[in-house]
Amino acid sequence: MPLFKLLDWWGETPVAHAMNSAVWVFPAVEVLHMIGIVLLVGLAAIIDLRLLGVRFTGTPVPALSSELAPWTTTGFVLVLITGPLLLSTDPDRYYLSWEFRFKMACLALVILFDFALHSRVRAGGGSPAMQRLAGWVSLILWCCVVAAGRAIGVLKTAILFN
Amino acid sequence: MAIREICQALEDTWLGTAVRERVYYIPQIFHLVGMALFGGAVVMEDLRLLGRVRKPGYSEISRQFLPWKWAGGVVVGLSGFVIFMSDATRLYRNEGFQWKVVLLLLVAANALIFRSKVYQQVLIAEKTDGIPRAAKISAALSLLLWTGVIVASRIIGFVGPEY
Repeated sequence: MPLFKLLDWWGETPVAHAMNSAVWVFPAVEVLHMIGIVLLVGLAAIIDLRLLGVRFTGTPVPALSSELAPWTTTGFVLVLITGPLLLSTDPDRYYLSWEFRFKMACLALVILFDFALHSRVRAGGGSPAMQRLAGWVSLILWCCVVAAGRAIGVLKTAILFN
Repeated sequence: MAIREICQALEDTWLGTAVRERVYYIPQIFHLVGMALFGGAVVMEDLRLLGRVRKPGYSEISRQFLPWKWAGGVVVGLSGFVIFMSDATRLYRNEGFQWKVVLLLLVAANALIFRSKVYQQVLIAEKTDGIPRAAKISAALSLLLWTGVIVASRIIGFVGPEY
């Protein structure tokens, strides 16, 4: 399987060896991953609450969104760098984990949804119903991403092939 | 030792036992999703005080987030306490956990000092000439201490003989 081969290769790179070189490297990168999550998901949630009409109704959506954009982008870059680093420590385990697959599926969906609809709504487009829809979908998908992410670490399921 | 007995009692409760033996992942997931959702409020408020976010005004942000941060505190705090209950006799001796508690107390102290000494100044100064220095120090301290809380949380899993 090509994906499996790619992960295998990633697990043998010098980066992966560096990640596995000492016990403290993994938690240190995890800390950066979590800071990224709070910046990305935490601030995205605030924009979603605005779209839902729950918070900051006095501030226009595009104003709030552009104010927070540099920080959500910073968060996104952080998780996008640290995520694959964490993955490199044991690609087989992640490949065989249902939670990891679910997380990646939700992540792909939320990114696609961002390009398809959320970004347009953030820029001020769309009807109020569309705004609420965008807010709910984004909020729920991000929660799924984080929940699945934590589940990878505590549930540790493995898909068994007979 | 009294602390040990309290921890043992917490661990032996129905909830502590149920979480430890069957559903250990549920409070973990609430704790992390709560952190991600409500951490945004802390970050935005602190960035506003530091002038890295400019709109809306600080008083508006503070007012809007007050009930939201309470809700977050309940979700993250309760789930955290339930996690502690499930593993109390090991956690209270864990250095990472001890640091986490100390840092959370410092977070609380910083917030209390800010509310009682600096908050009113911010509301007044906002209309005239920006954010006072004390408020900026408090905001920077808040971000730093919360980062420390995350570091300590990750250390929990990597220190102590049983971890």
